Amino acid sequence: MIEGWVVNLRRLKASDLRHLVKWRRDMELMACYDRLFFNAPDELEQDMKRHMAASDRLDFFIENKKGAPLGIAFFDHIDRENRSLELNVMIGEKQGAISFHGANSAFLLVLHAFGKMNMRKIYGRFIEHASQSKALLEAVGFEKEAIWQDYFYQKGRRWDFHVYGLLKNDFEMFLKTPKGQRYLTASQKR
Amino acid sequence: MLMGQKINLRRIEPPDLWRLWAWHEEEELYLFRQVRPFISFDEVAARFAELFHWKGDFIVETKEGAPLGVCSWKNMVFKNRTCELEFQMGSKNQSESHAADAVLTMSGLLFHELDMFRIGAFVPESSAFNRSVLEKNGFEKDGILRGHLFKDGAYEDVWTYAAFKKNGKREKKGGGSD
Repeated sequence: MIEGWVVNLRRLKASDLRHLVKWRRDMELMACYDRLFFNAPDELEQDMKRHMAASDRLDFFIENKKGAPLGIAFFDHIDRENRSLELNVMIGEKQGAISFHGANSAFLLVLHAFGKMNMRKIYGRFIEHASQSKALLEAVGFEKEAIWQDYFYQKGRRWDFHVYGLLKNDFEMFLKTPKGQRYLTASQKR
Repeated sequence: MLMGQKINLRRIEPPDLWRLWAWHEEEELYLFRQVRPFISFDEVAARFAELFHWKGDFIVETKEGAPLGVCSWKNMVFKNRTCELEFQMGSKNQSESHAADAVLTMSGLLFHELDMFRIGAFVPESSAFNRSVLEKNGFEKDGILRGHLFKDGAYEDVWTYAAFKKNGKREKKGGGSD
């Protein structure tokens, strides 16, 4: 388990399925991930099992300090040869400080990926209308690397896909700034 | 079989095994970096079986039937009408006109037969040949993924490209399509 100040991140368990079903039914939230609607929880269970068994993916369940569920986060496309991975954070519960919990989770995961997993590059991607994802990545030091124009088709029009990246050296520099220090202090277990 | 002006694209067949293996052994060919090194003939055969069953991989050959390289599409998403294109010519067969014709022929299949809207491509910065071929086929650079690839002891940037179905790009605010 990765413990922070306001959130804990633990490995995903089969019993978390009911929360995933609830969040996957939130169409507004799923539009940010370009996920199609699913027909039955069984489909989601199969997906979940496949993800948990995959060698290039690592799923976490985000909960507050009292153990209440907040959302999920995962590393995808873990590439040990090129030392890179993709970071995804999804806060499913809408009450409370969503962006604060999201940024805190992202920061903890970036620390984990660079510090424990010996990664060198982390990237994040989001659809252009997902303004919270953009704010979350920029808050922890990610920089824009590419805009894949007209990548998605949703709601009768095309949307761009933004790609942001963070290199380990840049993150170490970020940690030395007052903002980075503030994040580091706020993310540590109290 | 897909027929271009200078080349043909055809499905991979059993006799292509050894040619593919020879290309795989050329370390500078980035397309094969996703394939782990082989240590036995069994592994070569197993990988070949995967290639043989994958409908997106094509052998590029001259009109006389001499193999030149591989051209593939992958990650096709019909909802968004997007996919990715890859191509790699053997190091001794890097004729720009043949490679350009292969990309043109494959793009024709993807845009006109499979009705794709957007074709993406990823090219390491050092692969000037591939970048030139894509640019001559109307692909536009839309970003640089910093330090995305580890090659020859150093991290290298990867350039991302995209081509769109003609006149299909949406208008952006401020006028014009970009």
